[in-house]
Amino acid sequence: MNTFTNSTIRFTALIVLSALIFISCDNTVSGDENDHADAFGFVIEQNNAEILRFQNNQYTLNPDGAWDEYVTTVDGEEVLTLSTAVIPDMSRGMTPSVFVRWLDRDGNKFDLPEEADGGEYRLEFDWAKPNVLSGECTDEARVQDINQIRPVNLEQHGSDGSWGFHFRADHVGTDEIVFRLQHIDHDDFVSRPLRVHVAHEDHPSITEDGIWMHERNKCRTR
Amino acid sequence: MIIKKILFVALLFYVFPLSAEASESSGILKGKVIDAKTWEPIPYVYLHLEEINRTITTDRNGEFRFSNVPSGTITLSAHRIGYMNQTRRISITDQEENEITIELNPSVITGSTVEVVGQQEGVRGSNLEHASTKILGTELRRNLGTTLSETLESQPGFDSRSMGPAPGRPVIRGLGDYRVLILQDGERSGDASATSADHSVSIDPISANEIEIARGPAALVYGSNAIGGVINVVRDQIPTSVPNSITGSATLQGSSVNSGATAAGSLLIPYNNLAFNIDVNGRTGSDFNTPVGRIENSDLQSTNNAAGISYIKPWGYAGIAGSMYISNYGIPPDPLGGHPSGVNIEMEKFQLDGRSEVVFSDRFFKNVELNASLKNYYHVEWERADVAGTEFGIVTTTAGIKANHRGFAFFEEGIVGVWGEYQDFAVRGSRSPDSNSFTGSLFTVQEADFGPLHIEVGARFDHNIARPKEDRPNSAIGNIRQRSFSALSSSASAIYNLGRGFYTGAIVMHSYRAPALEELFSEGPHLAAYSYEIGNPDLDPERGLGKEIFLRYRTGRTAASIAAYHNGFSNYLYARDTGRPNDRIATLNDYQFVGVEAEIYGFESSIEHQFTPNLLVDAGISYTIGERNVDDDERNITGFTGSTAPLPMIPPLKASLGFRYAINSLTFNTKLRYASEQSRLGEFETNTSGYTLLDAGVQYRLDAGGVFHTFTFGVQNIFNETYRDHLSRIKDIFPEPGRNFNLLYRVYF
Repeated sequence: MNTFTNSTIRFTALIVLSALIFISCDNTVSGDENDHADAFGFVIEQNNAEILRFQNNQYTLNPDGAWDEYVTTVDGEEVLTLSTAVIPDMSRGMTPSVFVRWLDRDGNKFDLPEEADGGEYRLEFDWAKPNVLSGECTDEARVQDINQIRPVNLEQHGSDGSWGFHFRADHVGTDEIVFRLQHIDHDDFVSRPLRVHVAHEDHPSITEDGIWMHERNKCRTR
Repeated sequence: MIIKKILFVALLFYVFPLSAEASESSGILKGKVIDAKTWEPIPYVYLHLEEINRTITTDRNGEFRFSNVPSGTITLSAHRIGYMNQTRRISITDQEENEITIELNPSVITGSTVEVVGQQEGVRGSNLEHASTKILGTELRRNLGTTLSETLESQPGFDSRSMGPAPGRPVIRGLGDYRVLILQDGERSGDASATSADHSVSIDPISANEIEIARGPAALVYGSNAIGGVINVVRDQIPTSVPNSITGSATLQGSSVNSGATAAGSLLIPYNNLAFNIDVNGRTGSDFNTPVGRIENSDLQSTNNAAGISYIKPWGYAGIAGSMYISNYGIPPDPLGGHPSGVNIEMEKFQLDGRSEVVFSDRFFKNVELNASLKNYYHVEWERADVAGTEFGIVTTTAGIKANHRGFAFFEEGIVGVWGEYQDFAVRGSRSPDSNSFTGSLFTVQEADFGPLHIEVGARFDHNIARPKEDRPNSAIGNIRQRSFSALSSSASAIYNLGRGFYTGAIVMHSYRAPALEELFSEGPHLAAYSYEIGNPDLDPERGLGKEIFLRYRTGRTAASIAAYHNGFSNYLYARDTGRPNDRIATLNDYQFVGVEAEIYGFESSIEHQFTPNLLVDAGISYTIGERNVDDDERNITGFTGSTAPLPMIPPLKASLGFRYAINSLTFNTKLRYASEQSRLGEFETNTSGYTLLDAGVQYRLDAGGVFHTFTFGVQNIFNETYRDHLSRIKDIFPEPGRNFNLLYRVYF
């Protein structure tokens, strides 16, 4: 075997070895399994009656006619409203448990395996307004920032599972919430923003400035 | 599948070079480059044998050696700052050392004019005029930007589609995405940059030795879809020649607009018949500043490294290179578009390229080249710290054989080849099925000269298969199933030498583009692109007919050209913003892939004239109109009354005027850039105001102790103008970057 062939073989062995190492890399990405139903909308229910329905990219409030208390008109638009009429427990400022149920393409309700029970799905949400004061936490600062900070919050407790939660009113005002259905580490469904309003009422637990003085309304700063 | 790949690679690098043992005869081209005035040797001259794509840099003594050049006539081009570019035709004889001396004429200003030496009688230079152009040397350093598209933006007809400063992709004459093919050392980039505006090109321009832009028949060697053109970034990762000694370069770059810093280095090391190439770079930068504040989440970090080795003998060479590209960059937030905090993208690509070439001295074929490439590309888009939005994985395997042949009939020379690509494509975070595609191609490009007339013709036949890993006949987007496409694309160009430096010509290209996998099968949110993408499994291929006529004037002091073009498409494929919120991800609009009849036409012109040995002026202008036909259904639904509507993402009228003035080793330059208002708007686009910007810079070069230093200092957008680019997907939220001080230092040794 001549020198040329020897050199070629050695060189070839080197590069083929390199190629082998590289080729063993396969596509690290695999698409989602297509074995679950897709959510195309949702309802929020209390006592098995719908407070609202989101379908075809539109919200319908009180579709069953069972929850007039949740709806008022603000600036000419019907909005979901928290008031003492829907929050009987003013010591905590929260509604009773309400539950999300998902809708298929035809608007039929269906269940998804919730993370709380070992499934892969959970509910997440984003509010438009921040939940913190920009400066030191004082009563004056809260009143001053009342239009900038979030008037309403959402609480999930262990007994609520992945689909239950409570609306909590903190002070008078309006905010928007987006509901997201999270599948493992990505969004499977994202709603349009829902306007939620906290009403101003004459009530011993609500100050003149509109702050709901319940035990969970804690002052937060950055 | 892996076994097949291994066998293929073994075939490429084992059987092929051995089979060449019988043909160890080729010519050697060696020589020296000297200063035509002083006769002193010139080091670090970049030499390029165009037909066979070999490059080398002269050593400290100005000497060079190409060791395996096929016999016949070949074109050698020489480039060096401080000298006029030179192109000459050289005759190579078998089994002999063909020794030449290249005399370069000093020029205080390096422009785009070319000195043509040793012209063949009768041909009169039209064979050196092509539809293709290249950018290198001074011009490349002066325009070097953060991205490939930013680097090319100063070329007439070039624009940048962007979504923040990091993910830019070139647009040529209004044609972008898959209609512009981006290559590195002749290999497709293997990334996802053509699929969406938020995906960056996985090639860093800082390591480019030159950038070639091919149009017309030459583009068909690389693909049938590149009606806009082919951009080939030449890094020479696989050496094609053994240098006389170790050569290399080191680069440092800094920019103020994003506190950016870049470092790069390259080494070419000879060892007997082996040549080793090492090429590394790293880039970091924080958020870009604008006159009205910073562009949030526009930081970027990237590194693009390669190592190559070649075995070079008289029969040819065989080489392999491994490279990696890792990049993290931000997509600025769009509160109205679905992600108020922006998206962070982590991207990585690992690539292995192999290439082998055998030279034949006494056969019909001058040389045969085999190449293979494996690319493993991955990127993930982080919507929030712990929420991965979309993940893309693309594994691409390509292989090809091409051969340059000697003349037959009336053809002077030509190239024939076969090429194949297998691509495995997967997207996570959407409903898109995993899928793969296969493309097989046969192509040829032939050249002929008839006195002052130079003709190139090319044809390429493609067969494409797009195959989802599972059929979904009842999918929401339609019947997802395997699709197959076949077509012949063709191109021809003619260049006629009118004499006295004038050339006129025409290019025609009938392009073909099979629908890409995501255009056929995708269904899912793409937050970083602010879109919910909906494929169409029934799409037909895109066919285009491009026509161009041009007139050029080229003398020792002047280079000028004017071109008018028209591209008509019978089925222009693009993702149309429907303006309709998606019914699953309501914060995103549906982007539906559609095919429409469309036409894109316009003109461009550029001129460069050296008024005195020290003063050079250049100017350019380009204008493109893009419109699509509106059918009766759309008119009935939308109430639109016209028969055509503007296409989206079409650049406005642009013009530039530049001055360069040189004193010894110092060159000062200024450039005025103008863009008009763009009021021809596609669906849901907004109006973009016109702007005028002023740039300036100075370059200095220094020969010291056998080492060559270049310093480039520039200021872009001197007056810190607030302006918006029509091709920016975030123009309604953030303007373009503000004033930028940029310093580039490069040393050649």
